[in-house]
Amino acid sequence: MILQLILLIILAYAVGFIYYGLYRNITARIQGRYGPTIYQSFYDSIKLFGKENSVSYGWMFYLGPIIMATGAVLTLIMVPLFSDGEYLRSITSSGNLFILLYVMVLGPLGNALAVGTGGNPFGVMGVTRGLTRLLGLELPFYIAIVALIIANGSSDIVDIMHSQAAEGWNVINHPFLFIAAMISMVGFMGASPFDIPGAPQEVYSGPATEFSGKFLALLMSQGSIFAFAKLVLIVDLFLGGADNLVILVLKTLAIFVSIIFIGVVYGRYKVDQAVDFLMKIPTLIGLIGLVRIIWFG
Amino acid sequence: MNSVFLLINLLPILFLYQYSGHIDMSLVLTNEFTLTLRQTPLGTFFAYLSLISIFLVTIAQKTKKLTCSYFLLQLLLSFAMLLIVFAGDFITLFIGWEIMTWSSYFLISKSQKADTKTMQKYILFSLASAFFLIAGMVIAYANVGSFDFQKISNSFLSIPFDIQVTILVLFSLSFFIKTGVIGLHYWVVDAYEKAPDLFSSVLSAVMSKMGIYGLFLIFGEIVGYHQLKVMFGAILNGSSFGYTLAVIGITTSIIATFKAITQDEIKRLLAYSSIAQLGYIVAAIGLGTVYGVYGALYHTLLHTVIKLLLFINVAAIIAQTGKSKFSELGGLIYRTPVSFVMLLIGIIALAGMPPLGGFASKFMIYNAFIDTKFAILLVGMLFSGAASFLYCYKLVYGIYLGHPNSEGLQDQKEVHISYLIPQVILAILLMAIGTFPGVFIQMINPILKQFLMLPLKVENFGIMPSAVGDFNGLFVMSAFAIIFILILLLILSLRSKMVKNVDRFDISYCGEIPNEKTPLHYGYGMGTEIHRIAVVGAVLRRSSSHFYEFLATQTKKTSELFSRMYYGNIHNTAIIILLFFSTLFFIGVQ
Repeated sequence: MILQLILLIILAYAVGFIYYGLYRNITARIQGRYGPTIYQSFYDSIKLFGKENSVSYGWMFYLGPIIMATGAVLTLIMVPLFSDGEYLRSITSSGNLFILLYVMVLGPLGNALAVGTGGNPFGVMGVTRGLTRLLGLELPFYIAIVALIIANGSSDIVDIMHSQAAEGWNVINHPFLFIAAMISMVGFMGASPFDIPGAPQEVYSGPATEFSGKFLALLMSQGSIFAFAKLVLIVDLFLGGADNLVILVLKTLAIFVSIIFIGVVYGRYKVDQAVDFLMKIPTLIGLIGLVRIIWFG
Repeated sequence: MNSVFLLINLLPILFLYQYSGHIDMSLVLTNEFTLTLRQTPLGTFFAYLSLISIFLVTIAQKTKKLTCSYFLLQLLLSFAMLLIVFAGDFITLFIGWEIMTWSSYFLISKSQKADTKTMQKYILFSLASAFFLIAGMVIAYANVGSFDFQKISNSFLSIPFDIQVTILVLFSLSFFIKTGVIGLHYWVVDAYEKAPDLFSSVLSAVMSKMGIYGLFLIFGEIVGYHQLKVMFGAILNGSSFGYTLAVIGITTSIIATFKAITQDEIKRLLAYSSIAQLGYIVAAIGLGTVYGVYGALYHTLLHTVIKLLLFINVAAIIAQTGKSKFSELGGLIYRTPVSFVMLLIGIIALAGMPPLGGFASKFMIYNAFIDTKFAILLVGMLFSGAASFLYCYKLVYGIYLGHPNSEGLQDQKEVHISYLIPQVILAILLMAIGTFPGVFIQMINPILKQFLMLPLKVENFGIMPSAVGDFNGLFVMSAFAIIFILILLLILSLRSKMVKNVDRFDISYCGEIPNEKTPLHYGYGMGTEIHRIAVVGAVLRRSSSHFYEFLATQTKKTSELFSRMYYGNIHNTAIIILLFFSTLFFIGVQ
């Protein structure tokens, strides 16, 4: 059990970093550059774990990245990887979508405390913009989740996966919900046009500004674990889940590459523009899906 | 003197060891008017809340040199609240309601900040609440012939439908004013801000709950939840009246959350947050399912605990520093570390994060929404919860994190111990509720029986049961703790060079070196961005004060009109009045 969980975390770490490498590589090719090798981010993170930590602002500053990593790992073990099977099982019986919604923001909020302690106004600006963006980002996502819970009569992700095995994928049954959730997911993955909180030019990379050494490495690692967990969540909810690792990687990769393509094409919204857009078009699309489920079965 | 009042406050608890049927007395005035006191599980629940809260606040009040009259008024207030929750008829309830209004009025006026306008607002709205109450009970009396809850409840269905609705609307308005539903919240924010700092916690944590008690009394006891759907018809899986109530509650919580984000005064932020949280409770009361009632009562309990903790914490900081604005505070984390941790626990619970108590009650309310299929309202509630992260972060950042924003904050010491004792008790309670969310279900079960509903069975205190999937508080808490410790150990085991704490100005700042004069604290600016979002900005620009100011000017004009009738000669005025009434009389005769 414990061994499986550790394996799960290592898997998510490895896959997450390879995806991140792919992201940098594909982006570079689209922009007409060669870009770094796929393993570059992985090397960077290993190297940073041994590097000197250059600044410190007291104990709360150190706890932030640790809470963030805890949030990411907790999310990972609550999202079921496969619909059936003995290996790499997550702890799903105790987790459901409502808890997951909150666990997903637990980490960023913990890190926000550390950023605040650091006292860099750019970091705090990034956090505030992130929280403001959340107003828009969560709305379509919540609509999709609530609609799925009502449609399936259960907030357990495994139940939602199983019902898709019988009735077909939710992406075909509930396309409006999928579009709404996907637009939110672009923001959750930190891709353009909703990437203002960690923007390198505007706010100095935002929340990550003051961190260095092993804490920066921890932030990077949790980022890739978290990204993988979120991709698996979308696959579980809309693409029918997966039975084995190959199918899971293929499905998550499909989602991930489409997010990269969206991110490369668009520029960066200001935070109020982003929220305004998210509160209008994706919310409307999501509401159509929701009303369809409630009134028309 | 403090300790004497402390003891007097706790005395009634000795008589409340049973959950119902312990108090039963009546005072017969005439054949028709009887004052009755009776104990129900619902009343006992609220009595416990108010007594223990006032007890904890009294501990914190040890630091203040308060006069005897202050304590006497506070005692009168808790007496009034006991009278309300144990009243068996509307006359007793009304007496308690009035004593509560007046004692709290004088308590608020003890503050130096309390100005005439605030006090006038407070008393006007409290009187309006009392008038709605009296109007409702008189109409009920005219149709039933009794003020007794039991008798009104028995013959409520025989009243004509339009009168039923009138009675319910009047009572709801009266209690909505106490809870501060949006539109009727005009007095709340000013009163909470201007009241004595520690008394604000009583206002928010306890007194607003009397409105919640009233709503439960009306819908749970007098009308009965099982009859709401029959009387008003159904929307989806709930009653249409409940849908109206839920819409009111969720609208309140969303608008109040937006307003809270933009406040600069700490206590105003907390006041708006209080309105928002009570909005959830109002919505849950309307849902009328088992989970709805559970959620409403559980959230009542948690909101009491959280708001007591936060208001006491803020009162301590205001007493210590003399500053009450986010733009004047900041950077206190290493000066007052215990207070910081307490506030942190408070806001995590307020935001409804899973490892702490706040999630348990919200989870119940979500389930109630799923039961009734009010999906769009559920999205609204989740959205309001997500927006509340912003003001929660503002609360902790503005006071404790960032840079000190005014002179003298750098050499503050930890706040007085008597402020910390109640906070520590409440924080431990929050963590316990988060880990074992099932514990208080036992306490709520008798109330469910009183409302003729099926109580939930709890086998394991760590698990909160629900129809669409359980919430295992014990698992989330322990998983969080274990993963946290493992990662901490992993980080500690990596031996890399660490530096000592650096100066607070040693930050990346576009290649420049900031100094004392550089504005580094983001406390005031935080949250002002949401004005620029078109939808949110449009909501924020509207304010109920325009309406009430319009009402005030119109009233003034009308009274000027009447005062013109009196132009110096008493005889003329007398003749006019006589003519007026004689005309009325003749119209009446015809």
